[in-house]
Amino acid sequence: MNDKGQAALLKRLKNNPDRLVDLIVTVDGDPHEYESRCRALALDVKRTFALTRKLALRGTGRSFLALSNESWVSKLEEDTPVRTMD
Amino acid sequence: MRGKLTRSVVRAMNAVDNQDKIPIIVKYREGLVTTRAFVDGARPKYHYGFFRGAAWDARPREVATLAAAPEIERIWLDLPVHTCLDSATARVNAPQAWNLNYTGQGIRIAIIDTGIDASHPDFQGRIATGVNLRGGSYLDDCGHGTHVAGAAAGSGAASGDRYRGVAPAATLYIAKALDADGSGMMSDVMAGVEWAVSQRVHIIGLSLGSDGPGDGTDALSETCDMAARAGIVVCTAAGNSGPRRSSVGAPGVARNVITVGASSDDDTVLDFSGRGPTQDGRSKPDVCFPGDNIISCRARGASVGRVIDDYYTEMSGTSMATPQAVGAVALILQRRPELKPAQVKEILKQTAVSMGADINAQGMGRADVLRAIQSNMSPAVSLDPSPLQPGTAPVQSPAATHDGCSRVAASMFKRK
Repeated sequence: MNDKGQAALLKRLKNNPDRLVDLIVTVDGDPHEYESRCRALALDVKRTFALTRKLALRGTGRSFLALSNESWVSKLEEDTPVRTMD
Repeated sequence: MRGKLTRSVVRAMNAVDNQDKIPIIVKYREGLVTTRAFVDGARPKYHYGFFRGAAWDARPREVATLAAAPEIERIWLDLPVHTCLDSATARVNAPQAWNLNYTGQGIRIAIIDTGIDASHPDFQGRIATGVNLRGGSYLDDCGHGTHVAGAAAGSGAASGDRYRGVAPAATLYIAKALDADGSGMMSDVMAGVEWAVSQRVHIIGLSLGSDGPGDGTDALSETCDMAARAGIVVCTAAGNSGPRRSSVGAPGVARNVITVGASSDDDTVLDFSGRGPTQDGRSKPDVCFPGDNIISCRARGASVGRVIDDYYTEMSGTSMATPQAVGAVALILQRRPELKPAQVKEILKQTAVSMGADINAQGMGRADVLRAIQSNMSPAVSLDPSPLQPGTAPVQSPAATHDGCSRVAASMFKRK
C-alpha cells in the first residue's frame, strides 16, 4: 500500500485515531474469512463483497490502522457518498 | 379586438403589470405581406414565412395595439415546450425499432436506485423481484427510481402509449440502494451490483454517482467493471457537474461501463452533462442520450420533478439519459443475444450521430437506437483490464455469456 492515496488516508487515520470512519477494504482471498478478525479489531462489518473481494467496514482510525498491518489487506479506501443524477 | 385574442392571452394580459412582457405568436391575415412596424420601437423575435406570422414579447398595451391592427388575424400565447419521453425516444429512433418488434422482450434489466412504485400501470406484470439493500421494502420513497425505470422500460399504459420507455417489454429487477433524498454510499450501490449479478440480469442501470475526477480504480468502478466481465452490460450516468473538465466521477469513470451523457432535443450536449477525460486520460462519456425535460413515470404521491399528472413527472439530468441507454441495450441484445458487453458498447459508439462537440463532451455522439440494432458489426474488442492491485492474482475473463455470472463469482475466490 505505497501509493500517495493510501499514504494520505493512513495519515488522516493517524491524525484522527478516535474518529469513526467508513472504509472499503480490499483483501486477498475470500473476504468472508476475515470478518471475525475485523470484528476482533473493533470494526463493524457492514457488507461483504464476494465478487470483488472487499469488505465495507466502520470503525475508528485506530482500528483501521491496526487492520492496515494485516498481511491479507491490499487496499483501504473511503466509502464515499453517491447520489442521483437529476 | 377581443375576438382576435385567445383566452390565454387575455388572462396573461390581466395577470401581469403594464411593463411586463408577454410572449405571443401573431398570425397575419391571408393575402397580406407587410413589413409595417405595428408597434413603435418593438421588433418581433421571429418571422414565419410558411405560417405567415411572427413571435413577439409584447407589453399588454402593445398586444392591444397589435390586436387593433387590421392586418392581424389572431394572437396566441407562446407556450413553453418540453422534451417528452415520446420525443426523446423519437430522437433516438426507438419507435422504428419497436415497429420491427424489438421491445426488450426477454431481457432482464436491473435498476439500482431509490426503488420503484410497483403499482404504476406502466410496470404491471414486469417487475420480477426487488430488494432494499438497506432493509425494508423496495418501494420508491423518492420518485427518482420510478422515473428512471419508466424511461428504460415503462410500457406507456397510463398515457395511451405516449410515454413509453425505450424497452417497454423488458423485465425489471429493482435494487433500492438510495434513500428518500436520493443519497447513499458506494458500498450500498456495490451491494446492488452484486445482487444484480446474482439475479443473472443482462443489463444494469446506474443513474447515480459521486463527484469527479476519478481514475476508475475506486471500489464502485471496479465492481461495475467486474459485472461487465461477468457478461453484464453496465450503463452509468456521466454526472451533472459539467461543463467542468474531468467532472465525471465514479462509477462513470469505470473502464468497461457505458458512460452516458445528456443531450438536448436539438442535438447539443447539455451544459451540465459531465465531461472527461478521466484522471488517467481516458475520454468520457461514451455516448449521449436525451436528458432535458424528460417525462416519465411518477411514483404515487411523489413531488419530484415537474408533476404532469398522477402518473407522470418531468425531470432532467444524466439520470434520465442513462435509462434510455439501458433500454437501447435491451433492444440490441434482444436481436443479438450473443454480443458481449464490450461489443454492445462499441456498436452504440460507432452508430452514434456526432453532435460536433469534443469527444470529452459528447463521446461518439447522440445514440441512434435503430442504427445500433440494425448493425451487423461484431467488433473485435475486449474488456479493458483493470489495473491489478498489489498482491492479487489476475482475474480470469469468463466467456461473457449471461449465464457466466455464477462461474465468474465462483472463480473469484482463492481459498487459503
